[in-house]
Amino acid sequence: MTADTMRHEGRVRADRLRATARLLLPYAVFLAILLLVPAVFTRVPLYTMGNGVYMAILAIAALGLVPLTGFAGQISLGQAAFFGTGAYFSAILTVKSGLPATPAAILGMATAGAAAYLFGRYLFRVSGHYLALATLGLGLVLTIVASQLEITGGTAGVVGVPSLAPFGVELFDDVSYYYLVAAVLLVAVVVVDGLVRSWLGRSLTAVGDAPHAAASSGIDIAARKRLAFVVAAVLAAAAGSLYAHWAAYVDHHTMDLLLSLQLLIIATVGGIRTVWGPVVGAFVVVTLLQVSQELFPELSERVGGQAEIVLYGLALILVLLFLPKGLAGWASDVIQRLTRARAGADEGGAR
Amino acid sequence: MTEARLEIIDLTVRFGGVRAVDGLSLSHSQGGVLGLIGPNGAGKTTVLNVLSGAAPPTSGEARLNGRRITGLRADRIARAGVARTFQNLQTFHSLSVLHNVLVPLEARAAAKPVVGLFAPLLRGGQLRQRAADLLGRVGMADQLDTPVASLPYGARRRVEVARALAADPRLVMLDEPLAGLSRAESDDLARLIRSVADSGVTVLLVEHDMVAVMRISDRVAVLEQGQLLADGTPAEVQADERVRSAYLGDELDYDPLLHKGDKRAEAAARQRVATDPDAAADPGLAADPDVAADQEAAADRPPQTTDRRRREPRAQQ
Amino acid sequence: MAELLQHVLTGLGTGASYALVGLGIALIVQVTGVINFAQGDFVMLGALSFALLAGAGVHPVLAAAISVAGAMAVGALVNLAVIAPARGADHTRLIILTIGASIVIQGTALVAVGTKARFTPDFTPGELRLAGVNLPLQYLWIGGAAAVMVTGVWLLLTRTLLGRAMRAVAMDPAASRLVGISPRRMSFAVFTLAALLGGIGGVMLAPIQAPDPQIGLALGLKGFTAAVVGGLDNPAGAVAGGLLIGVLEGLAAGYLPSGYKDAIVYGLLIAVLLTRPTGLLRTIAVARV
Repeated sequence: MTADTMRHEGRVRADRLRATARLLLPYAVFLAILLLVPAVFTRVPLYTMGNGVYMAILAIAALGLVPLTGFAGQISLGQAAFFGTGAYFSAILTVKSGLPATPAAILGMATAGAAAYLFGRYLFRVSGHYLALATLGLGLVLTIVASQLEITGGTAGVVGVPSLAPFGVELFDDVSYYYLVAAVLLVAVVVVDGLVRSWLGRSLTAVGDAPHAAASSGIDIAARKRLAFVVAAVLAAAAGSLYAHWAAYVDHHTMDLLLSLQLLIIATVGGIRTVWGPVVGAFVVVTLLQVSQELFPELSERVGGQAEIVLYGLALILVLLFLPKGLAGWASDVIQRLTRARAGADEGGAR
Repeated sequence: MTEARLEIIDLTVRFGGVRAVDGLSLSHSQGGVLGLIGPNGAGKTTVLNVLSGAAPPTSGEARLNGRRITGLRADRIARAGVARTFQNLQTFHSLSVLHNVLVPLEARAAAKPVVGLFAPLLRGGQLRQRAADLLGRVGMADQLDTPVASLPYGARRRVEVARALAADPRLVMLDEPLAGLSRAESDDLARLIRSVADSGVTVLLVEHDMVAVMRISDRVAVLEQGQLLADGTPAEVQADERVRSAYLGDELDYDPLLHKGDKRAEAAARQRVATDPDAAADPGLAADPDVAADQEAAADRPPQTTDRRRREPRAQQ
Repeated sequence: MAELLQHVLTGLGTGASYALVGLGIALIVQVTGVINFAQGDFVMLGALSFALLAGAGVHPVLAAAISVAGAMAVGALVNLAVIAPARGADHTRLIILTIGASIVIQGTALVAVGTKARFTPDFTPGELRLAGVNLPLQYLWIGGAAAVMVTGVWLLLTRTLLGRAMRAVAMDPAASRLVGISPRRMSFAVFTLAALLGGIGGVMLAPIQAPDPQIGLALGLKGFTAAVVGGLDNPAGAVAGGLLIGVLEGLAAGYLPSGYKDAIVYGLLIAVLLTRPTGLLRTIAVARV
């Protein structure tokens, strides 16, 4: 073996190592942040541990929009309908039927997924942006129905949803509940990241980029969009179940259009083509909410806690106009540019 | 591989009051390159859209190897062995060159019923190798990881052709693949098209570049106002009086390489005539339209053209 | 029988205002390919500012003119500040941008005037009595205004250069650019026009539906339903769809428990999208080939 080939092999191995590191590094950073949140949020002003739980729940619910809207290009304004489905299933089945929390949540996720599948069977036969309108209608109808039916407790909702006790450890406060929610978020991020990096993600990208060419490449567009829709529904339902046990009660507001809008904003502001987008977006949106309540408490009260939506809307427009890839997308571009510049400098130095 | 048998039977496509395709019947089973030409608005792209499932026919049908393809969904038609490129270039702009070609390969692998969704995962390396081979064939081997959006126009065209070939089609339909390409790029792609046809895949070529169509095609069908005006070997079609009066003669009064409305191509063609002595000698590009018409009428292609068509594809293989 | 007629007629009255909203949505979809989620907020602005101005003693005609002009200005502003700067954005991004615009308009109105609903008297008090039906004259105002506006839009699209340019952009943006029509300018024109229609619908609606900053959402949704029922690419269909929804809503209000009125309309939206997508919407799917 010559020195040259040895050097070459060494370089290949180093390259492979670097590629693995590049893949795992964001996860390591994310895990570190997740573990740091309790220490920080319990000590700084503006944030509470409840904010941390809420952020993680919102991020899980918004995560499904990455493959659906970000990659396949299909806007959904119905995420809250599936969030509410998960929340109501957990609440009703544990409170009224006495079912344990886990099967209740799984039933809720399965129902949301099945509903999305059936809805999608009809919906994705046409191209265009009708899904946005149809999901909007779905959310509104379900909100109205949930506020009228007896089983959902009408406008009063379902109260007394028990707290969770995984492996016999009762999660009685926000800090302990946070660890559960953060773990679910981490798993959800890994699953969705795996999906969008796989060949399925590639075919979703193809569908979003050039639908006619995707179809002519043998991709069943309706089936791909339906898959993304089901994934989004199941994740939203999981988030809904977690919310129900955390908030201890569920009413029709869990299906509200405002929540659907909020989730779309979270995903878009954070970056709808990366799994880190919803995480960053949830942090930003909850921060905006806290800031507006802190800065304008009297205003918030006067308009029924709706003043912060101006901030959401402005954030949404500004990010879409100036950072179309969202905050996380922009950050990853910057990091990439920096590492490339450094690699260039290194090479120059070696020479 | 047996040649694809394409039958178009009494096909009509109406948009509102306009008959884009009007009772077209055409069969082709001898393989090679079938050129489809005609003035703008003759219905060429509409025929492609119907055959690929992008637009529904108003009446009539099309069959591939006896199997009806009209009315099928676009992805089913693709699986039946029909691939295409698009006039307005439809690459997957957020994917890399390699991934653009990987998409149809993976879609095909996933279509197998039993292994289904996992097939593309299990056979990942194999599919990548196949995609890389195809890209090598179109001369893109050294840019596999380049984002397709950052490629120049001509290179994206080649990626699109590689993508169309990826699904192992029996019939490849190319919609104006040479439009907007430089002379060198256009020659390369024409050679590639010829080599595809020689490897046993039937090529349906819609193209405005008359010289190229006549050079590459084994058979040429002429559409006018959605109807078949003439059909035969390039020599027969060029000699056909109706074609000459309705289309060729008209076009030749200008310049057969001009693409109406395509300013880049027009400028490129003009520049070619001005700078390239070979181009000026080429009958289609002669500065004097009368001379060009006379030469075309003789239906006798100059030797270097015939030579190019017969030998170069093989030389490239 | 008289009761049925009563519900149908009042339904047609409110339906006429939905028709204006739906027409605006259909026009924007045609010219830009974008579903404008801020359309309902144009209606809200027209209605709310009219109610506030008239309530403050401004002459109704002047109040109406200011309100409609205000809505138009906001429509133009949405196009200039939100749609136009997003060069090269795909439809998905543009649609989300209109959602952002809608939220900002609604939120600003909330912060400015609070959540309270504003009542305003009918333009002309009194009722039309006919065959046992008592129809407040306000409904005739709405119907008349809608008829005038729809005719106006039709004349604009078919008889004027601007209208023909808009239709050309709707058919083929690339080809229009070649003949010198700017899709950006047409997009601006159609947003302003849609805001005009929304503003007028809002002014007409203000006396029968006391406006607050949050009515935009429901009105926008009714406009979407109207446009979808009629076929999103078909302005005449949007008008018919608006009338149909109005009647349906009038009947639901008359014969069903309250609370289900809106569910019926949104249910219709879903039903049409799920069952008749090819029949009603096929032309637009083909147009995108």
